[in-house]
Amino acid sequence: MKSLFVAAVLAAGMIPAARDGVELKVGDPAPDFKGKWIDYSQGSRLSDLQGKYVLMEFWRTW
Amino acid sequence: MNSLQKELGPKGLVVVGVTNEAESMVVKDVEKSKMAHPIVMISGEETDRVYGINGYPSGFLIDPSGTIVWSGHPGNLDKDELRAMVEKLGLPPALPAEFKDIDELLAGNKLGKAHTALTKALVKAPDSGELKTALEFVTKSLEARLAEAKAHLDNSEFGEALRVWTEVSLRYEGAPGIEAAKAGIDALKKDKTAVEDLAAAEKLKDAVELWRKGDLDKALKAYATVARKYPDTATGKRAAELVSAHEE
Repeated sequence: MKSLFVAAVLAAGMIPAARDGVELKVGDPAPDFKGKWIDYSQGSRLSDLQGKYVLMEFWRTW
Repeated sequence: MNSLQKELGPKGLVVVGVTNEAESMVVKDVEKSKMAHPIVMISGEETDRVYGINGYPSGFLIDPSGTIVWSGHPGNLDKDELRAMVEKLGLPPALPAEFKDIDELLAGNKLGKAHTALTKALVKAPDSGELKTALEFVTKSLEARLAEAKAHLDNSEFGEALRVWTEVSLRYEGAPGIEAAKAGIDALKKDKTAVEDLAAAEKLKDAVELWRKGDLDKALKAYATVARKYPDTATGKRAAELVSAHEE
């Protein structure tokens, strides 16, 4: 996994891309979203995890 | 991330990978990388857009109330700080298999029902250390939530106090001590000095709802309205903070 992350960082180049609209900041509520869970059966939304600390990592396979 | 999941997962941290790859690719990748069962969620481009992702990997830490408390490259996360936060929150102790039903109530945050079931189980097994620890966990967590509401009340954060009491009275229904939350709610509803903040909190709740749905621009406008309309309330000030955090 680690090598995968390194590859991902290199590929993305970590160039701060310009983005239109509002930027999320510390202190903001986390926007909710729906997805398909792998290996998890309780609910289908991020908000189903409320009450716990959640560490989210956005990644891609290259 | 794997090591964090391994160490802090049992203490209550949930590590979620979010990707927009095809399911078959993700499953293959999860197997190949031998992830220690972080939860993986497949979500679309829209999620990346709302979260403003412009490089991978990107990380966010969300606290139990659903607030973003950290964001950045996952490699830069302060693990000691995270460990301290997760440990402070605490997890209910795991119960032996014979008490599976109570275990599920605890895991599902149905703490009032868990309290009732634990009290009953302790009559049959009065010497069970695990049951005693679990009951103490429920009692302590209820006390902590009530203290949280009281602190909000003392700071004239009436809307916040109402939110915590309402949550407590749902989550801990049936547990002794919950009367304090109900009495608090009743008193707030009669308190003339609380009226304005409660009205502001109602509006702010709608605005946060918009934000959570990903309608960030509309939410910011709604925050600004609350800040303008209720400038002297704790909620109005909170709304103003949310707005100013996004002003360049």
